[in-house]
Amino acid sequence: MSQVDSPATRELSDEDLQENLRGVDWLNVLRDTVMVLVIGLLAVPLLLVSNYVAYIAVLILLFAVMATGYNVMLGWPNLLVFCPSAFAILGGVSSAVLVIDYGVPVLAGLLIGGVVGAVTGVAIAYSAIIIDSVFEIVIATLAFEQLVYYLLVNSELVGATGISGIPDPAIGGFEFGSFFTQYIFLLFVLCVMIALVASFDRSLLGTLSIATGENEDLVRSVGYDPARYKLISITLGAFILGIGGALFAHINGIITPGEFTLQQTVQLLVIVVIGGLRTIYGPPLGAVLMIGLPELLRSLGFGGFRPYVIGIAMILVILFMPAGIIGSATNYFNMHFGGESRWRFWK
Amino acid sequence: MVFATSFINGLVMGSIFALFAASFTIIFGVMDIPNMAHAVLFAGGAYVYFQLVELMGFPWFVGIAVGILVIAVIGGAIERGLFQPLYKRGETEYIFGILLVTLGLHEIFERSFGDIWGHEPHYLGLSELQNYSVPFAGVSMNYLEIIVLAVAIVSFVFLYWLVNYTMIGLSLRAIVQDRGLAQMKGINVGRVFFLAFMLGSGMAALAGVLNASMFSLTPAMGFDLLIKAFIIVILGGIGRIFGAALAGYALGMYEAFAVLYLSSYYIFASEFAVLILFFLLKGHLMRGGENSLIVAAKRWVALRMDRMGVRG
Repeated sequence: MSQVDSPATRELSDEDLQENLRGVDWLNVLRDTVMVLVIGLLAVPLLLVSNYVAYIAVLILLFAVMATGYNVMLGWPNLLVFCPSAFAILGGVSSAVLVIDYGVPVLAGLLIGGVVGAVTGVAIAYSAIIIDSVFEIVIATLAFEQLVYYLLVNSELVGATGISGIPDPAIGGFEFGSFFTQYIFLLFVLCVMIALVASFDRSLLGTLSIATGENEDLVRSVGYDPARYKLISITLGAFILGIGGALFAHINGIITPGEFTLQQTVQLLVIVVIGGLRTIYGPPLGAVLMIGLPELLRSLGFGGFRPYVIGIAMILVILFMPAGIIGSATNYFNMHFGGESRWRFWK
Repeated sequence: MVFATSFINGLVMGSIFALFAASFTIIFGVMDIPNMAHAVLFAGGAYVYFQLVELMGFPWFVGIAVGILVIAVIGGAIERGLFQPLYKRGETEYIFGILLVTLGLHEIFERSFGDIWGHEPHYLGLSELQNYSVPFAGVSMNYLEIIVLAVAIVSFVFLYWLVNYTMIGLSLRAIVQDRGLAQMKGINVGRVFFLAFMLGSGMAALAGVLNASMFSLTPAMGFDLLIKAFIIVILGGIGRIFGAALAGYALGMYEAFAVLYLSSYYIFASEFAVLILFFLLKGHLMRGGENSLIVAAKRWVALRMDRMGVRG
């Protein structure tokens, strides 16, 4: 398992073990968040190139948010939950309905979308705890996702055409209408989510979740309840996914069940794994690569090669870089440059 | 009258489900691989057949034999080249790895089928057989349906012989039951994996040819079947070939009759609901750490009978 050793577990052998376990290293959290913010802002000039580029950038951020959420439930407790699309679409539909039919302000709708995702997450978490076998969790959550899809497609409320005419995100009257403003808004939301995940990771909860993922019985023998950490990880991830789905709905103006099927789950899975499971920067990087690269290919005229690129990327990454790009880079630096303290910056 | 027609439909569709699921469970049970690429192996067999018979004019038996062989060889290559490096990894990494590699293969192959042979549906000459029927118990069965059933029966007889009377088959079962113990008995697990994957791929290819003759040949053929195969294999018991076969026929029957009462969306949804309930029930019953659901169920019944004061 040494290849997926994240720096977080290395921190346990540190002198400041006592401090890190109880409190959260807020400085690091801030640093991670600012890092993403700065990189995101640096990309702003690109947006001005064309509307198409701006659209892709917005799409990348949407997937980055969702992938961040999926990363939490996949990477920390090592639970192969196969239904992120279900969390996202439930969050999206809830937000859309609340905003359109009940006049709820968009920000509140986003949060409630997250809560809906989280509630579903709790149910899935308990199922995962009861079921307890890796394969069966994969298949049961896959089945759950299909079920949600069929239920929504056959419902009066959503149907195959989905919900349309969803208003743009707005804060107190100011509407984020253009791609440019939407990008800034999404970047801000992404940073909030990153801060959330980073603080989770660097806290006791995060460390114990990692421990649950690596050796459940050992966690139990030390006196902690692994079920609790599975629950927390999945619920947090589902919350972020729910918000991601709601963002998707409001930014695109329309949400259809067809956008949230096994195909999107696979896409999110690829993004997270290629970026790096259990890393902070992994999901956004993965989103840039897996969304940006195919679109780049398409604009250059090689659109037909997209499945080949995705397929080959998946195979190569799994065979040669199972910790993902960020994960493998971190391992590489840690191995060859010894001094952890210097490279712990790159997580 | 309607009953008989549905029954026959159930048998025929069930045959295809059973063949697909049995080949899937061989791979799943022996190697712990949820082979997401199974659908393209299925379609691949049909495409090879199409190439040889429809485009190049070879006779049908050559098409089938070569189709099965080619896909089996491709399967073997995949196993040695892509899966083998993953065996030494930890459990969840292994599963993640297999899932993503097979998903990647699925993407690549599905696209290449379309690029090489075109994305529109093709039709096999074998489907002409559907025009001739034979009267049977008040209803009629067409030639193709009879052939599908016959092929399924022959395949399962072959599998039965393989699994019960040959070294390979016994090794397969041993590995499914307890891999560590099998290794200690001297069974060459690596070789069995290789052969198991080839067997699974070949069977899938055969099922693909049959399916394509009954319906049509498209690159995405088999993906829906893959999802159902998960359900079938779980219900039948992972690694149990005849469990999968039985569950496959059961599902075929269920769909054949349910279609009379429910719209197709609800049929699919109901199958998933049944699966989820099954999992929850299983998880709940097996908290005592038993190995098999049947043992756990017996224990549960015995406990209840005990409490009711029934001496069993």
